[in-house]
Amino acid sequence: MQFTIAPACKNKKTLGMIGLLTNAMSLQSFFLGCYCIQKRKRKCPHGPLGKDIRLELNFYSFVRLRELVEKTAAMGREVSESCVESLLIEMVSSYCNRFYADKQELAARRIEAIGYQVGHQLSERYTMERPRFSDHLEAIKFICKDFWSEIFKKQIDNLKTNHRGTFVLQDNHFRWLSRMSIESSPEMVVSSPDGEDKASQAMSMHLYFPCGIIRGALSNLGIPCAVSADISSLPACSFVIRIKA
Amino acid sequence: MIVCVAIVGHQNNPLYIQSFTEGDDALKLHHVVHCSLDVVDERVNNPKKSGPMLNETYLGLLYPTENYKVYGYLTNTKVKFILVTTDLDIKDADVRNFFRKFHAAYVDAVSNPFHVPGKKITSKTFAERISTIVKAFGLSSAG
Repeated sequence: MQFTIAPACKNKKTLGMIGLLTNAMSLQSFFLGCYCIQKRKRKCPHGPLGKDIRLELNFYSFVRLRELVEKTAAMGREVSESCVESLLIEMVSSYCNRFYADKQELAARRIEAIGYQVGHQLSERYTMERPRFSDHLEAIKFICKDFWSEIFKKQIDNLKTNHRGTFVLQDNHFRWLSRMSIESSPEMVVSSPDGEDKASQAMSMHLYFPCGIIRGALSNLGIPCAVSADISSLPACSFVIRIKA
Repeated sequence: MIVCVAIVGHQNNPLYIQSFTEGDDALKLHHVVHCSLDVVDERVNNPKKSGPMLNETYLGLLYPTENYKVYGYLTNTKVKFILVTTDLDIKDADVRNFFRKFHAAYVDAVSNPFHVPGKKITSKTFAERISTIVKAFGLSSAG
């Protein structure tokens, strides 16, 4: 497979190219692909291609991400954890700072939607060969145990419920947050007094994706719900699931 | 011989339906599949059998007609798989095995990032894979 990505920045051919690459590529070559794009960017004779390439890269990582998370555990294939994390962080930052820089809510919705699709597909795969769930609790237990350990290699640490359709799933060491810090960076403190608020807001953007995954999985199992996340003390994280009656 | 297979979504929307006969009796087979959906609903809503078999995905023989036997399979995500066959004596294990492969093929097809959930499956690879599975089933049950 060749990396003729730069010609694809003539926007018309982009989709076809990416589609082709998606089916055949491994993760390694994906990152190689990103590298090529960046390299081309510097050398490109057609002047600054920044925006096009960015867009392309983004769509690219979006498609890859869905496939990647899907494949990581499902096919028994291992993917470097740091790659997945970089991809997630990059996705959040492109949506928040580039596409919807002044519309954070919209960015959050988009990220959540990507998660929804991932969860939707994953639940289809992980519930194979498994008897049907008879009630909500059983489905939630499935999310806590098998589903979580397929994605994060650990189970949810604590499950609470009020038996009226609200469930709180607590993960004491959430993998995707384990390397993040809520401390505000120096420039943020200088620029605004409420730097910490901004930092935690930026952090919460990273939780829309896992929330989407949970919501997608549950709604595919026939349980429409709303999922929100809460970071009380890092790296612990709790997800609140409210089932819609 | 398998004459028809179908995948029906959770709102009884057809996702994939394919008949494997020479004659032009596709409409009749679609009708058979359509009728079987009611039987699936009935099975799920009034489970008669109790015990460990209660919520199994494999529903077994849904109903026999004069010419066909209809088998069903219902996933956790409320997607129904229907198999219509003309064979008179099939082993249950063969059908189970068939549905397992069928389900795996379906999962792979919907995991395609370009597939829109709830829309018909148009992938050629998927169609090829299904016809391979169907052919393999014919061989195993004949032999």
